[in-house]
Amino acid sequence: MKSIPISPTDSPNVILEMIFRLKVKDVMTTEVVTARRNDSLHKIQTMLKDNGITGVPIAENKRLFGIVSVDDIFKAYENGTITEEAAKHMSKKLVVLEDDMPLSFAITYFDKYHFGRFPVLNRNRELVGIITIRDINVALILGINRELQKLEESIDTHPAAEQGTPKREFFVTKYDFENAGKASTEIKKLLKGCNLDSKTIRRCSIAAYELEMNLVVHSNSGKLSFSLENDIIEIIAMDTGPGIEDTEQALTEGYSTANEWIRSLGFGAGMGLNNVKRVSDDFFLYSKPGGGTTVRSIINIHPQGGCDDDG
Amino acid sequence: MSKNGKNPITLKRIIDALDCTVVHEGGNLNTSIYSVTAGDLMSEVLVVDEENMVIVTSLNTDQVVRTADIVAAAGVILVNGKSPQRGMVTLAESTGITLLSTPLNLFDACVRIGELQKG
Repeated sequence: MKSIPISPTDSPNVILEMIFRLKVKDVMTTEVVTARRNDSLHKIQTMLKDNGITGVPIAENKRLFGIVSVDDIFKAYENGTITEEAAKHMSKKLVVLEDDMPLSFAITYFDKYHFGRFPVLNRNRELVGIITIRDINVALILGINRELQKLEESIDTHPAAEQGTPKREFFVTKYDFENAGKASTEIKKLLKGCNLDSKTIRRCSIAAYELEMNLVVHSNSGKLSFSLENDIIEIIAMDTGPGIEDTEQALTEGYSTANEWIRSLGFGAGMGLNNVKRVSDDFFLYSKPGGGTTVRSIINIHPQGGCDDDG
Repeated sequence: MSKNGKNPITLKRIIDALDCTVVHEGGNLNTSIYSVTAGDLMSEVLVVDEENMVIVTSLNTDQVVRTADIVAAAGVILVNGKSPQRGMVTLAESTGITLLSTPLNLFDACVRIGELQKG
């Protein structure tokens, strides 16, 4: 058997582990659109179109007889057989996968046969699903996403860059009021160690804290990053949603979408973003409803000495 | 020296005038304080452009001490005789914020501080 089309020595373990661990049944589509042997090719063409698919297994009572793909429909038009029944024109030389096979096996099959889809049978030779390259892509992307998330959580507050140029990233969790503000406290400590004047430290701390609280109160969790390079302090809050409907309104003093519960905790007065803008030398807000929000605050400093990373 | 017609006061004088319990002494109680902010919305405290201020509040959460640290405040006064939550005390200890508690309500506490400022 031909091996999988990715190198087992140079690929990241996480990918290899995933394609061997996942089985075809974890990835396949189980709601399969099927047609019967006596259905006309014309009817099947409509099924393909209506369901946005490129092939239909011909099956009755879970027993697979053949498959009709877009190519078969093209041929039927050429030969004038579009009104004839599927049984006469379906592909009968079928290559199928079993639901218990590892995903690596399915990938090998796609590489070997260049089919758009494979019907999947269980141990009793019953049709239980269909698998396409798209199913595999989606499963792998979701799997990689989960692995990356784990990785990001494990590096949490570790330095994001080499020593000497302070850079930090913090993951901020929605409604986690217990830990809210910890990132900003860390940033403040770091700035104190950089021998900056108290006004600059205060401005940066306020920007960081307001942005951190915004992530806690308004986002679906996000990332707060801080960097100090070439006398420029940059604080960025980035989240993946839910986005701001009207950014101009969000910058209006007193406007807030926070609920009573959040207000009872002392936040959501509708002053945060404006306050960040007030303490920043440069302020940038990007958001779209349903998407993410990124706020960037730049504060310029005048060097008074080097950084002491232990500060 | 007065500022905006207000005389500087010290945490020590506030403790006496408001009958405060000192939960944590974070720094010098004799430092001059020119600015006082009262309220339960920390968002409003964060826009006050004064260092070394005192926050008077009935809000009893960690975020009060975090806010005090961020704005470099000298201390926090909890009103209505509230005992601060454990997390608040721990945070006050690690950030060096003085944490006080007074039996007075928010209004009366402010009135007395105002009298101190008038001298």
